[in-house]
Amino acid sequence: MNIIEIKDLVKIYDDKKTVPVTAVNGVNINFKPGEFAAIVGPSGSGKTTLLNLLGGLDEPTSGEILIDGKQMGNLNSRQKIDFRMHNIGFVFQAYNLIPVLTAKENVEFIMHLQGQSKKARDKRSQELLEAVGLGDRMNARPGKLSGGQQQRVAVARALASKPKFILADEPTANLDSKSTETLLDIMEKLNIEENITFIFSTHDARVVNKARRVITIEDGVVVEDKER
Amino acid sequence: MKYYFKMAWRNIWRNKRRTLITTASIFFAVFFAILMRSIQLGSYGNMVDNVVQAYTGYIQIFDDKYKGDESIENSIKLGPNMLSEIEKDENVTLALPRLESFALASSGNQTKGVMVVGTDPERDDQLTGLSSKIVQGDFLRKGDQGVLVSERLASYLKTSVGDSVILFSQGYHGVSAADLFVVKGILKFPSPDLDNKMIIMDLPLCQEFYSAPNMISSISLDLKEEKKMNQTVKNLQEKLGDQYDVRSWKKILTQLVQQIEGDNAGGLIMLFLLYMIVGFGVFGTVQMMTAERRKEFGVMVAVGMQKQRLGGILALEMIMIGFLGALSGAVLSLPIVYELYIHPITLSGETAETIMSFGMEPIMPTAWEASYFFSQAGVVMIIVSLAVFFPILSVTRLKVSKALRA
Repeated sequence: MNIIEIKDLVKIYDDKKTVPVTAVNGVNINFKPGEFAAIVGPSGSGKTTLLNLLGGLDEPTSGEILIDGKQMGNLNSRQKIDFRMHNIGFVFQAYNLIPVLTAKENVEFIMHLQGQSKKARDKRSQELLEAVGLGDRMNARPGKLSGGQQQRVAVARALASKPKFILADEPTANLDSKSTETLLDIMEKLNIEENITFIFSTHDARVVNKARRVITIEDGVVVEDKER
Repeated sequence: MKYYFKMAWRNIWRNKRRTLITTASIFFAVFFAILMRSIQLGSYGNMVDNVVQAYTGYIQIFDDKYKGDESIENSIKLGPNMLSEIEKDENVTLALPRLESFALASSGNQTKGVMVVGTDPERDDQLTGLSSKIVQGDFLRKGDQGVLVSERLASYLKTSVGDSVILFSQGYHGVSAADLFVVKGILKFPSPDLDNKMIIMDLPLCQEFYSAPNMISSISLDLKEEKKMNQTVKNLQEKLGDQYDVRSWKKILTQLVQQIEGDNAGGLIMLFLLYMIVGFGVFGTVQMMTAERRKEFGVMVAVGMQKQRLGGILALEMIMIGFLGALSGAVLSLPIVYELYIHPITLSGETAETIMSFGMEPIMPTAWEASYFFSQAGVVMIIVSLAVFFPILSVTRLKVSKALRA
């Protein structure tokens, strides 16, 4: 049973002012639960666009995305936001933590939106921050954390709602080698322990080496899909 | 909800300087608006009190034909229970009957047209503080046969206390009226117009002079609460019937009302300009707050926050800033307004003389009304809500993928 099915997905950017750009051109991919997959390709190949489409952050020009058998295209804007909150975790290149919230509050943010109890939030956020090695930095605001630490908080935040899969857009692009290694180890461990699918878009060879499936995309087309 | 309050509170202090500047602009707007407006309204109140308490009273009752022809022929017959019936109205504290007409006053070789007023001295003193205007001689008592003459008139006629003046006039139904009166006291009216022409005597003496027994020109009323004046006018008009014309001071002193309305409009325009400036200031702040956090908004929506809720947090942030500014402005203006209410600014020099020549006290008191503080703060909150509307609208139309690239 696939957790994600992408069928003939096309995304053309056409703002009527410039020449239309086909960012994703007839992509067909499926993902199973618990995968640790990397989407690789040169800049402008369509990796981020594909991830945005998968996350429901952008609308495809044509094609279908089914998540757990449910068609994303049939959801309205509010339903999509709700769907993301319950099913998808996001890790961004620039961490994008909410600066006025502490590490713990950032992790609890989605649980708040879900209406979880304080007790449940406390337990889960503590567990996740300890899992990413930040049990002692729970009350620090993002400004007081290093880039690597912020990205680990972002991973904890992405996992907080127990999503079906996590989309990570170049998560190691701003990190040094040591932080990258730590982060990848943490993500791999969580992937195995919580059986959550991780899908990365990346340039980073270290991420590619860790991935158990590598999908190469060029000019919006999947040119290689290799499992290890 | 508490969580979103906490977020909004922390957000507004992300850029302390900007928040303080915006709060300060709202503070100064509310502070000056309250001060400016309370001085303006206080001055109007003072003008009205001066004029109303100088002569007119808050309400006057006339014969219904008096308005078109203010002659003694259109006077009212004062029934034995009329005043007590009027005073039964719960808002009426005093009813003062007067008979007014014109006469030619003569003393020695001097002659001048004057206004003769027959009044109840005790009641008039209660309404207008007439006895306090005495500068020479004594005030009238019931049954007195003497008269009070205004200072400028007395000076023109070259009379003083103890002298006599002769009055010639036409009485009720064309009867000729002529008599000699002893000057009992000299009055000083602040208004030059009144000070040039007034002769005041006891009401029965005046009625006898004009051969108009029990007749009066008007009844002036003092009220418990001015706010209920219109209702009192309505009640009395219904009670007395169509043969009487019950008018509030606003219908009698139309020039004063127009002057106040004109000045008030100017004040409101100033307030409008003040609030427009603040409104654009707040609008600019919200725009900046929205623009610089576009990516953050994108992330929040991406992870599952509904755009409307996000707009709500943004509104909450501006309401907090608006509330801080409005509250501090209102609270800090409070002691100043109160101090000026208790101890009004006293004007001096030519300005004071000009004001006094209109029969008014040369002071600038403030109005002391709780509702005023709330309304000013309320106006600011409405402006904040308007300024916040478009940025919130833009948040609810946020394109997440674009915002994430911001």
